[in-house]
Amino acid sequence: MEGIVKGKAGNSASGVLCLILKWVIILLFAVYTLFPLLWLLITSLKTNAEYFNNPFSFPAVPQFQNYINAFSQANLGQMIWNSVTVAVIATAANVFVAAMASYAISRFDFKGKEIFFAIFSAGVMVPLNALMVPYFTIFSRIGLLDSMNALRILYTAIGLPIAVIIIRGFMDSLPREIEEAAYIDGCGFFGRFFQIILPLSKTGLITAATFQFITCWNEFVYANLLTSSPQNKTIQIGIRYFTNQFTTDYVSMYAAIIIAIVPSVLGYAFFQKQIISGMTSGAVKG
Amino acid sequence: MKKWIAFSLAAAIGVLSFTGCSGQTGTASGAGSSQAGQEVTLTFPCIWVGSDSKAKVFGEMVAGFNTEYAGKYQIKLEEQTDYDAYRDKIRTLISTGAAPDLFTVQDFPDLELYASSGKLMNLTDLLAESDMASRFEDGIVERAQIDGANYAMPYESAVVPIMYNQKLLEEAGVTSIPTTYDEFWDACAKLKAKNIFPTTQMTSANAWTSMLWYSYALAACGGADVYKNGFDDPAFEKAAEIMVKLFQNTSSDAVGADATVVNGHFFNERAAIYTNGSWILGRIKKEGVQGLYDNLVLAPGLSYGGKNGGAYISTIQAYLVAGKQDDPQKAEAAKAFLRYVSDPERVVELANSSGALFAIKMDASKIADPLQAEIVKQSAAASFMIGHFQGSVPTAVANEFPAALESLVIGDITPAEFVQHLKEVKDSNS
Repeated sequence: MEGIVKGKAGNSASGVLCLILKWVIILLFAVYTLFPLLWLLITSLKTNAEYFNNPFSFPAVPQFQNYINAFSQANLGQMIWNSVTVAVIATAANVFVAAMASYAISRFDFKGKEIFFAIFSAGVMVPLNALMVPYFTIFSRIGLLDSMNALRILYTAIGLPIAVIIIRGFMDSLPREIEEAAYIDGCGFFGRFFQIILPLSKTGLITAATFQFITCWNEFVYANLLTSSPQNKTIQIGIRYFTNQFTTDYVSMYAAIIIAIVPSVLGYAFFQKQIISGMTSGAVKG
Repeated sequence: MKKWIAFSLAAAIGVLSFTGCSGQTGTASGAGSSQAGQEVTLTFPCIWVGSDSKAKVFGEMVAGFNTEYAGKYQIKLEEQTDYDAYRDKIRTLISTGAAPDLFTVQDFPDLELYASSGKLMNLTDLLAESDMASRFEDGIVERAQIDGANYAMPYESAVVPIMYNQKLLEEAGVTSIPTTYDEFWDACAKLKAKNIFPTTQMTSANAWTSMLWYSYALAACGGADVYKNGFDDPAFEKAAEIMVKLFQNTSSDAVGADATVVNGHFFNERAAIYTNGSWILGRIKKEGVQGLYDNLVLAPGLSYGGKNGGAYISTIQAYLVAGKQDDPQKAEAAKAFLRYVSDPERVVELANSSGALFAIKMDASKIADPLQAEIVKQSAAASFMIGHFQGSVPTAVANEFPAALESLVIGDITPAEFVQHLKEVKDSNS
């Protein structure tokens, strides 16, 4: 900013150079970020033959049929609805439980608190694929196989470590004096949690919720393992409808991917302010 | 007001979704025994669905079975479209004692692993029935045995020819299809001189087509028993030397390339020589440049040092497997289904629709696609048949192959070190 001001005021060569350099860097980052999305969009409108001939060419005639194929062949509409309900419920439940756990860890002193937190947080380091057998056994025993409730419960649980790390970090940064003042004013345990801490932690909660929603939305392994009926399948299974053992209908798959990322992009657009604020104001300091 | 609307919407989603899936619970294995007179339902998590080339006709076969056995047996297909995820799911189901009623297995090492769990149905008696035994290619049922028993029915086979683009060969002045490696390198030199990539290679994912080239090199250098001899056979090192040379005769993007790149070069006539299973013919017809399919000439493997020419890579690509059943009616239903789908007439229809080939004997004259029929004829006349590398070594070695191949072809390791590395991987996993 200083460079720009100087450049404008003094019209010095170094100021102009600085300005050009800044815009070049910004443009490079913009291209780096947007190019894959743009490529995906363009490729989703090509034929497979055009894709194989030159992956970076433009379609001779835009193939909107690929999008119709994505919806009609893979039944994406039902799958998107399933993914929405699974992701929304698992995100809400996850953030609620994680907020309660974070509150206890952040605000109360008890023996072994940090060890408890370390063990709890260690969950982020366990590869999910390693837990397929125990999770399958659990859901089989409780009779929840082939149901979306299995996914809702599982996603709520597997997202807890990262959500607790994020929310606890944010709650730690809240001044204790506010809560003490509420306590003096006669506010009870639940009152302090619901009326003071949760509203003040809104940014942290939204950051955690964003991570959790994206995790739920993109999860495939357990969605495939725990469901079998077409009416219970989620969007990530739909995307893979166009791949098989030896061949892939790439362009229809890319159309399905574009459809699948729309809710995430919309979600980000709606909550952009809170997400960026959460990311930059200590919510992820841990 | 806004809060109430948001709360109401969230509550509505919750109630609707929980309501929507109530009563949909059950087991993936379709467990539970049937009562006399009740229709028996078998679940079949199946990879031949979606955009798979076999999906349409195989789906019709299942529907035909359900009609023929209406009121008695019913097959419920469960769509599985991602092969790796399918394999993970089958492994998990078997590990937890919930083997599906029917499923497919691609690799023999996986089949051995699953059979050792004791959760697979013994199909030895079924496959020994006179009507069934006569359906299969000679020796194929015996080769699928584990300790003298069949726990799977060999079904789809992979027959892999070497494919030459005759038009490009002629443009480069290559007048005949090579039968030896010496002739092959001469042809490569002529193609390179015309700025045509002689071969297509890849190292990404499972390095599939390059793995097939290595398999052909092994067959040429080591003969039919090369896998039985193990990594101490000098053929493995000689074949590695051939791979280095093949990567000198390919596109500059081969290291790190995946199937898209490889297919892209051959389908668009940038490369002249390619190898893949017969299933690719349908895609070449559909996605290749105009006339490519008509320019294809198929041939078996090359000879090395005057030996082992005319071999064909062939392996079982899919075994049909049944989970062990306590309920005799379910066991009988599974056997009835296996009899139904191995009927030669139905299999020909499946072959014609998909381009795939099968372990069931087929009359080449009934195969509509001329190149597919040519593969059947050539493979029947092959000097010997041999499996591909990936299906003939332990999974850990097959998984290591792409990275080791990349190190080999960029010169980080020598052919001897390449073989030694694979051998160490095998030893450490045995």
